Amino acid sequence: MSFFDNLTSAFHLVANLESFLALAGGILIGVIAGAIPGMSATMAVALTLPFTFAMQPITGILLLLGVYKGGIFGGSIPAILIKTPGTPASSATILDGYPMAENGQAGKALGMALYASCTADLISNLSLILFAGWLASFALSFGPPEFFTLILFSLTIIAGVSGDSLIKGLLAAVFGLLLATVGLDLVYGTNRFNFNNANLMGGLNFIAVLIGLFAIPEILAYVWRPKSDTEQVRALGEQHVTFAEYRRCFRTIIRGSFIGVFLGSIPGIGAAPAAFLSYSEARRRSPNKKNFGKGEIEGVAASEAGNNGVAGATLIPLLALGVPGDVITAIIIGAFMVHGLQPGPMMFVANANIIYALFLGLIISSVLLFFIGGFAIKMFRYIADVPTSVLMPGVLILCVYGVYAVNNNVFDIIVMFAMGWLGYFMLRNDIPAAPFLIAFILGPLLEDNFRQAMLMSNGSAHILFRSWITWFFWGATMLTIAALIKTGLSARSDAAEALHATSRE
Amino acid sequence: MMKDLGRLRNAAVLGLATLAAGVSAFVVTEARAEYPERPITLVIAYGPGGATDISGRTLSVPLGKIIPQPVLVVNRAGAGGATGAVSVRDAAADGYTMMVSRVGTHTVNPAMKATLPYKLEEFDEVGVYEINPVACAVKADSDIKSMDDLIAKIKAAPKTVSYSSSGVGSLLHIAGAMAAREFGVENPVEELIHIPLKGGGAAATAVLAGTATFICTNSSALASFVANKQLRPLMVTTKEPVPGFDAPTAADLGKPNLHQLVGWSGIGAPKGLPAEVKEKWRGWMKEATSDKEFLDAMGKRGSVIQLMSPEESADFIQKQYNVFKKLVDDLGMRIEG
Amino acid sequence: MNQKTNDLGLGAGVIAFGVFLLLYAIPVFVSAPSNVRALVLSPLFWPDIIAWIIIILGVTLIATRVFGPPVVASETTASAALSPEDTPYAIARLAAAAVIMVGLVVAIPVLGMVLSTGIAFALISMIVKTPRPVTALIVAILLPLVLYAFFAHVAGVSVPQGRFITLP
Repeated sequence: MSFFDNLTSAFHLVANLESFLALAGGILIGVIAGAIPGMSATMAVALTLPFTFAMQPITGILLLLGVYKGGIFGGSIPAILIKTPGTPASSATILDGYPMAENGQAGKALGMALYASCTADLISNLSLILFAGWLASFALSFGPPEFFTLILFSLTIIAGVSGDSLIKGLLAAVFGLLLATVGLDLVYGTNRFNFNNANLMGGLNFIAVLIGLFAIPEILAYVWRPKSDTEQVRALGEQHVTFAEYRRCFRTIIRGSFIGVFLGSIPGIGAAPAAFLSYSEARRRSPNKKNFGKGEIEGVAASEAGNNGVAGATLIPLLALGVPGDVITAIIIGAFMVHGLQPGPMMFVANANIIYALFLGLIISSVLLFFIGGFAIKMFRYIADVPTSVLMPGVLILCVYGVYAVNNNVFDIIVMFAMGWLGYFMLRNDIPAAPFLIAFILGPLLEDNFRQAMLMSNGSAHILFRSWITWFFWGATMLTIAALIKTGLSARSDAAEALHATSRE
Repeated sequence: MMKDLGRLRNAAVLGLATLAAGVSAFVVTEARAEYPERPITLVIAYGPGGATDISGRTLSVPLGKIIPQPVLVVNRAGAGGATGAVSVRDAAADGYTMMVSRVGTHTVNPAMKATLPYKLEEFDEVGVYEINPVACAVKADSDIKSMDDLIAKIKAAPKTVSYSSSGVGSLLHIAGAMAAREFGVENPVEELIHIPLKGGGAAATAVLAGTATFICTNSSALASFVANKQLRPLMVTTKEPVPGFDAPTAADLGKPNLHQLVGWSGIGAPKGLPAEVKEKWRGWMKEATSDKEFLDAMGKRGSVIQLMSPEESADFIQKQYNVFKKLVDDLGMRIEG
Repeated sequence: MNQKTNDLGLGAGVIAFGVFLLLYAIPVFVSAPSNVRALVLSPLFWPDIIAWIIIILGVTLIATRVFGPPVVASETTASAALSPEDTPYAIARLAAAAVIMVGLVVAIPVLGMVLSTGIAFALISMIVKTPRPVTALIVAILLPLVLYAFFAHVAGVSVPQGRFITLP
């Protein structure tokens, strides 16, 4: 069959009411699930999977993809409104989204999250269609040594989210690394800080840590100092994103989208690091650097572009190689196989019409996300009008339900509360939470890949320099650190000068 | 006064005793009511989307139609299945907490891990329902064309050939070592490099990316790579050939011991499951595993549906455990500390 | 207490924790098998590195606060400062919140999720002296029920029921 035959046949597969309904329904389910803390996109996709068995292959897969994309966007809603990331991927959105909501700009933040998400989603889908083959073979050249250097480089993001004091950011990060060592050793399976407790052997639940670190401290801060409701100006506001603002953030969005595409096409990294990397790049390049973390709309745009850029790109290794990039795509592979389809290079030959139908469906999904997301924002906007005295205890019990739901385990609620007190201690001591979280995500990846590389080479460090990719990331890491030291020194001399100036007055 | 108090106390005791009798009578009648009278929780000790999860959830669809009460499927993942298994062991053996037992939680982990917080004897089994053949494979463009080539390569240059697994104490970990040993590698722990990864998908990808030389895992995990000619199968461990895998069986190669090396899923429960509950499940499993849609969905994923009775299942699991235990002891693969 | 002394205390605490890790926690709670192939592969390698970084960062924190430019607390920390007469009450409220959290975890298996979260909601509203007691009471009753309905029936989670009430 020629390209056009495939395209027409694909068109017939997609251009029916069922496919549209599946996509729209999937996105709606995803947005709602994503907006509920603890209900991650992964859970939503896993729960939807059994319903797709009875459907046409393309309809079922489009439904799952809709849930996935909706879920990634949906996570930004609670991140902005109640400082609780709905999915891990939206934790970077908190950094500027929540301050914007506190300034009465929740509507604007949500709007920008939606525009950035849709733009990034579109770019990600187009990259999938145009570069799938090329990016997939590139992704396969990532072995443990390449991953190790990439993650080492990613850890430099910590500097970008440390706020005023780099040293305190590093402190938070190293405690994140420490907490991530709880569990079983990767290579020998021996106990590490788990006191032979079966609950601790699996490590600390990521979502419990995430929610504990961001949402609970906010509640404790409210308990420490209950503000009277009249002080609060937290209405959603009739403010919308202006075209000028979108244009100002456009470069950031594009950059974030490509960071997402790049990290998404490499299996095993996920959306959260992409969002943080995009955020720190945006901050580094922005003229409004000082405003980041205090309610800068560009920060919201960057992180949402980063995490949505991943969504389409994770399908690159899936379709081109049959390799799942994360748990969600692993479930989607299952859906392919139930319908007798085997993703991989042969699928482009044997079932090209299905592939093209998927591509068409994906493009449509970006458009549908725009409308359904806009509708969801209108629905959830009422949360912003809830008075703090009711909202705070409400968030607490929502988090209790959500964290329990992740693993059906009361132990995770204990972890969430413990992390909440740690987070509150950090809040009171000006120790930023974001570096802690990044280190908690990346630490195990760094350690595992380092040790896998060492296993491969029988303990020789040469393997860490085996390819141009490793050299590239070593170089990038060195350059970033050098730049950090340079800005750090000039900031210090600035501060010293300012001090002299004030003492002279 | 004292007498009054004493009488009061007597009355109180009598009252309490009556109450207790009444309550226990109530409880007894409750227990006599037919099982199940409330929803049954089915614990999956692995995360959503994994092979165990999909298998368990697919089975729960026909089960839900047959069992008069709802079946709640619950994921409780962590520590290679240990977290979920411990939570089931600690539950009451009343038939309301069941689990999807799996080769990892029930035979490989107990055989390999000295510090595992549970033991195989602490579980009952109501039926193994699924067998997953194990296949060994290398990258398609590799110069290794057969198991003999692989073994020759290991012997020619020890400590250069590696195999990937989904983690320490997984079926893949033991499978690579067992296969190599059956084909004459004396000490696979020393002569092979074991590279543990996070999860089965990552393990297969590692072979594809050249991080590891070979992998031995469930054939369903390799099916799409084999169909796409990205990986080359060297062997399957079953007696019968596996559809889609153009490779000799262990029987063809004269290694009948390897028939024990298969993955499986079943339904397990805490030790001491009442006989009537077991009987109920025997019937349900029989009905559920003959459901057409279930057979269809599982067959397409490459698993062989083969229901065993509770007795056969216990026997099968014990036998596999013994084989793995002996191998682990012989090779010194036991995970201590 | 100003920001500088605060940070000096923090630095000292961090160093003490790092030393504790290195000398006690890592040797006792991280087990390493005897047949480790190479030093870099030992399960102890990574925790040891972390402990050393913790100590170094603690020292650096103290050094920058002693020799570096003065630091000011951020707005969030500054806004948390209360007048001396309010502080004891705030501490008492935090302690009460801690007790509520512990109680909640203990109560969930006994009372069930719905009842215990409802009570927790009401108690928190009480300790912050909610300006809208009626609304709070209504939400305390309704929100757990709505969440139960969603998680149990839509998301298929087996929400703990407790020993006293069994909800459909």
